Amino acid sequence: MKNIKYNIGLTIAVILMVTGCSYVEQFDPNNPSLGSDASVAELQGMVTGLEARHRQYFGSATQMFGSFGREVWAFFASDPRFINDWLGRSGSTYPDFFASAGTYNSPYQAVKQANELIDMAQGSSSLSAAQEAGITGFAKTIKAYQLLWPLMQQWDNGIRIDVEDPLNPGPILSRSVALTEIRAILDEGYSDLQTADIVFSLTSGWEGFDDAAGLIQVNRAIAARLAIYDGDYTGALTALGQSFFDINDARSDAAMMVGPAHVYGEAPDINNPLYYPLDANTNTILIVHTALVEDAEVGDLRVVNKFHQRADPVINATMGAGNPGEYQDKRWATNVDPIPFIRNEELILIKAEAEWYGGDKNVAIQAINNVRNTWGVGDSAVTAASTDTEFDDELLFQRRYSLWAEGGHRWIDLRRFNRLDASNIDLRDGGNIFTQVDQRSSETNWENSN
Amino acid sequence: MKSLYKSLWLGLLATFMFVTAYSQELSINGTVTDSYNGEPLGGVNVIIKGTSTGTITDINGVYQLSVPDGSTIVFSFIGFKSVERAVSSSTTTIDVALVEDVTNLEEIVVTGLASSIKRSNLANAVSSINADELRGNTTQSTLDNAMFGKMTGVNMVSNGGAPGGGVNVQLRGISTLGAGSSQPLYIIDGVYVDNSVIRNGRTQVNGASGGQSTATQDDASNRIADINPDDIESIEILKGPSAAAIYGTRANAGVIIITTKRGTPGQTKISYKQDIGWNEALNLQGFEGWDDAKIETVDGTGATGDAEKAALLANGENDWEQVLYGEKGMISNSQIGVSGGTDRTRFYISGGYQTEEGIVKETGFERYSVRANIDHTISPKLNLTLSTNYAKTETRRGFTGNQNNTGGSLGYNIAYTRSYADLFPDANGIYPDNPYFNDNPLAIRDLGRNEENVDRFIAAGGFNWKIFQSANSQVQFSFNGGVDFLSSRSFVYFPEILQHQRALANPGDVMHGKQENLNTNAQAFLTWNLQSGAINFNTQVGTTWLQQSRDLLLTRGRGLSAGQTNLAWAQVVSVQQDSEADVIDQGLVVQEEINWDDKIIATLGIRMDRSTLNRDQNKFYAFPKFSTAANIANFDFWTVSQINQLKVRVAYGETGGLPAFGNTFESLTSQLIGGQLGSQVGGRAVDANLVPETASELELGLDMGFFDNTLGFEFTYYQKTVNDLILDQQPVESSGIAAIATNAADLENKGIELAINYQVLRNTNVSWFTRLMYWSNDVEITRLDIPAYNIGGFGPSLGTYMIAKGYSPTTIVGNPSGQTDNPLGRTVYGDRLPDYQISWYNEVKFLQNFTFNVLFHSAQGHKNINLSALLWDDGATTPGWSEPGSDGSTPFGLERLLDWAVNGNTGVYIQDASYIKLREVGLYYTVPQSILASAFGDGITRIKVGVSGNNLALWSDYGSYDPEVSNFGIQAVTSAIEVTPYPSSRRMMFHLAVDF
Repeated sequence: MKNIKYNIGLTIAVILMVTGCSYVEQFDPNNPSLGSDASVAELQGMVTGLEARHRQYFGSATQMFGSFGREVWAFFASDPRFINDWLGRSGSTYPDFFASAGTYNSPYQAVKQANELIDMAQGSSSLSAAQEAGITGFAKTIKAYQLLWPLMQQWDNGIRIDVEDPLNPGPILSRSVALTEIRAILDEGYSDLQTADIVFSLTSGWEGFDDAAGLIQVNRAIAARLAIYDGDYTGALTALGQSFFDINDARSDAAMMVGPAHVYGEAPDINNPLYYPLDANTNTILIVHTALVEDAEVGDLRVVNKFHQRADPVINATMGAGNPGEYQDKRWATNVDPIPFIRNEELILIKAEAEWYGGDKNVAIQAINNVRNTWGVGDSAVTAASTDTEFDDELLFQRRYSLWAEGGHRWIDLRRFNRLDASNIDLRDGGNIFTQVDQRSSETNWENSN
Repeated sequence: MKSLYKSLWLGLLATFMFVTAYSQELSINGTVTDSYNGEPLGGVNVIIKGTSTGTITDINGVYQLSVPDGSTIVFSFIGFKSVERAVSSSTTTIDVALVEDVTNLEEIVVTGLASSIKRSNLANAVSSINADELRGNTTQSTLDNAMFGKMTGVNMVSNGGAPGGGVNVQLRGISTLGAGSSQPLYIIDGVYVDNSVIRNGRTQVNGASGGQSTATQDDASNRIADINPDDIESIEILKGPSAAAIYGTRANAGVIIITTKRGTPGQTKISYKQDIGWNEALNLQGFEGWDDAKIETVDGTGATGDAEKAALLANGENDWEQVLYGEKGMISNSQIGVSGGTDRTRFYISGGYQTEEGIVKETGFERYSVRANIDHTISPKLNLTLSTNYAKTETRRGFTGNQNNTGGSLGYNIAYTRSYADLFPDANGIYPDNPYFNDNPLAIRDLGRNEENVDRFIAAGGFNWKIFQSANSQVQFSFNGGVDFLSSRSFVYFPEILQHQRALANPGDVMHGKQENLNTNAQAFLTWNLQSGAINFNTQVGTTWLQQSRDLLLTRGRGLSAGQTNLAWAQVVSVQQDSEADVIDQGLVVQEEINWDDKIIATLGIRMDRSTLNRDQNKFYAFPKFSTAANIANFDFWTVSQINQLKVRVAYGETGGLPAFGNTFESLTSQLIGGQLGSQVGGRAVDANLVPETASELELGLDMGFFDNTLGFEFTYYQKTVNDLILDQQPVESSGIAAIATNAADLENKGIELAINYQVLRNTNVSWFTRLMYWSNDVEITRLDIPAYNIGGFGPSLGTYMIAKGYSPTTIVGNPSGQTDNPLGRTVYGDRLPDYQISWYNEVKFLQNFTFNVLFHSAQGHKNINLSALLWDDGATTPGWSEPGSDGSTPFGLERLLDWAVNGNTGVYIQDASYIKLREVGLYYTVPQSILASAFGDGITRIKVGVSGNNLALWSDYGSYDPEVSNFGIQAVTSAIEVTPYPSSRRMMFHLAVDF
């Protein structure tokens, strides 16, 4: 009997030996996790991550808003919805509209990143108060800029600003309240940057803007854009004064291009989303809307610099042979060229708008002519004596060419000037005009069930 | 006292070991034959009743056995009814003719980690497929392909027609919404085998997952394809938690237990089999060509139209479907098996080589396999088993399915490529550019490469040790360990000279993948069997351990030097994916089985498991089971002689479903920008209280056998509930978090399974056996704590799935929205799961030596999202595109496209996918023994020749190649979406089998 007990005991020992002893808890072997009390190196990683999130919207905004405003046609043959849906051939948008996450989910990912970064900076024992203010100032500046994109997409539907807790989000705020909130976040960033000590490094896209003074200039440039969107012309002029706005030097291509940029690289970085080799035999290419070439003033260097007439037009099966793609974007020499996201030329046009409506109309005309002359066209017929409508015509015309395909300005501008109609938008493609994109299902569902 | 125990113990042992020595021995011999044709049966178990002593007949059906006077010999063989013969002192020869058993009641079914049971005592409907049923009829491509239509309670769907497999196998409805494994656990000879789908990056190279889609569209096959079906002796399918509870935390989707062939003692037998045949396209659509009128309709009468008309005149037309898919691909399958051994050592050694070419040039599948299975009896107390298998597969699946901006899909490409395009290479081998799409499909086919090579080693070893044995009690310890090592190398390549590559900044694109998967598992069980009067108690206590590790490195090079594929010759080198996964599971098992004289059989058990895949890695979760079967016909009061079996069975069990690796981690992702490496907050979050999914199932069944089991009837009803489904709660997208893994839903499957086996005719001229199976499953989400949501596909305008309470999770919805009958307001178009399936198998034996088999299989009442049709309409290639539509003038194809584009009617591309398929047909002739004997003497013992077909015919209204399709591969929910797949083929074969 002892023998049996011995045998059974041995058996149980074997069982435990072979199966019991090698159970070890596992952690993610592939990636780091968010930790508490971040080091400066961890914060630097998050800052760079924020810069990466910060550029995600750009291709999508330029392609989709650009299609809405008929700056471009997205001849992406593999999916007919780039034409059918984006150009509104079936009438309207719908919840979770085709390929619209790029100007909604993507910017909100940047917002999430900024919020986490702010939390980490505030919880880090490695930073002085000034160093913390540098990080939070940068994060808030980017956060405000990113919140602009969902607002531009959703417009009258409004957006959420308080999104820190995924399962307890703040309310959807109306367009005007949301814009006020965004400006407030930007102002907080501005205030943080006043006392900032910058311990992080940014990419070459921020060259000249990567210290506290430079970041303040970028913050205020964004503030100027938001101010005119809000009809706050005094605010715009104040902000311009603290930004990198520079009209004196502006009569050169280079001066017009001054501003912080999104940078691109080869994989595992990502390529410039607007680059297509000239004349490549392809049916996947962003096309310059023909009307831009047709409507241009003679000798406008912006047309010469930006639009390339293709050797062979591209035919898109969905669009039909009647609207061939004759011109493509030629601004980018390579697929790793940086793209400025706010630059001096826009600030000069903001100056014009803000001065016309909130300051000196003569200065406004000077600003307009500064842009015109830079690009080889003479002074505008519009003068300080012209009507608001005549000025708006001129301003919108200049903005259309100066800011072409830089995140969809045309559609946004026409909307804020109440001009989203067929006389301003060329509908030869048989489509319709959208004012905004339908609210996303995740937001609607949340509202309906909470 | 001590010495008394000791001597008792020794005495018992001696009694057991030398039990035959103390009795009067009789030497019995005889021949066992098949009662139908008198042919000898080899491998029949000849056992002395009540013992484990016995032998096995040799290939001539001959046995010899020493038995004690007065005992009874049991002759048993899979597929035949057992026969008992009493032995008296005057007996010297017992010849037996076995009768086929259509109900397989005597068959021993493996039902668990350390248990097997006679089918007649089983409390669950366990489907079994034996070697003959699996591949005796025809030669399918892969193991999963060989299972179609051969069991109830399963929904099997091929992902497409590419060589080398890829089949979604879902047992008893939906077991997970995607967080866990939707595929059954495969266990081969005790080894947990890897059935994963290995990333090869084709989806990136051809752009399928660029742009709007992030899901994998590699079209790689699941790795059960590495297993040689000819090595398999039997397959048991534990379809639901009530049968599979003992497998615990990984068994929600069922368990498929595979046993490979093993040696039988006696003369060494060599079996050689050669199959040869071809693949050809099953159902080409016949694209519409072009003429001047159609060109004017599409391009107008202007310059563009004129140029196209000139091109049509100059180039003439081609049928690109025929050009690309019109090949006859050779199939060859050679198998050699050697088996034999002695009473103490038995072996089975096999070698196999299967090769097949696809219906597209440059595509194909090859499998090399070597196996050695060895059993050795060290002593009556101790025996060892060893199973080893090395397999190598080479798969070339080409470029089909989805693509973006590359033309890197033949089907997508020719949807837009006009019949008169000038595509053939010139004398210098230069392929002209395709003016109608991103690339020349012939160049993609000829110059692109998509290869995957897998080397695989599977080994299992174990021992059984009878620690103690007495007349009515036995204690046994068994240990099994297994290893499955898989090494995969993939290669996807578009050379720099391709049209679409030349349009890129860095032409030339190559993706090199390497993956190593290693599963190791071990289990140890102590089994105590006690016969107490008429009741048999079987108690098991055991423990199991499983470790899985996976390591994938997928690297990409772009901007390739002319003709080069090495990453050193790429301008831009990047890591597409580098991921490791390590998982450990541990389990404890207790089970009690009580059998009262084969009248009532009850089982009670529990398994406790923990796994590192769980959020709480150290918590054990419990999975209980209970089942009982009552063989009413075995009771003495049963006097209805026509009904010889009447079994009522009830089974309940619970199992688990683990979250996928990584789903319980909240991690940062890396992104390079401007030379700096950033950490990005990931898009996923995890509920801190996440628990594994659990399924519970109640199964009720009634099995009946009539007229001495010539008619068998098996009816099962089950109700399988899956609780705490892990799904991605979608918070507001403005949170920047796309998904929070949380337990937020329950679902319920209810189904019936019915099988009728009938030996319709049986005489010396003709034997006709028929089997009809019917099964259906209804699934419904019964709890959903989060808002209804869409998953899968390419967004609502192209058809997607809806997860909503009260609906099947496989509900297909689309535009237009604004409906009021469902929570998402979309239009509900149907369900991808069939209402019911039927299979009908017939085997007719005639003229003594001919066998004819035919297997039909049908699935009815389900829908697919057919985006091929959308592309064909858009490219004006749909068959009948120019036929007048409903208004009598607009071309049909254009009208349908506009209905989708302008009216936003997704429904035009969501189509009925019901089908009937002629899965298998075979006709075989076995050369009679008498002829063999006179021609070859003892040299050749069997020659069998035949012809067969696989997937010979398809009857369906579905508007594409095959209603079995999935662009996204194996998906828990979101399959049945079609984007110009590799067309399915039919297989025709000739067979020769020779035994020496």
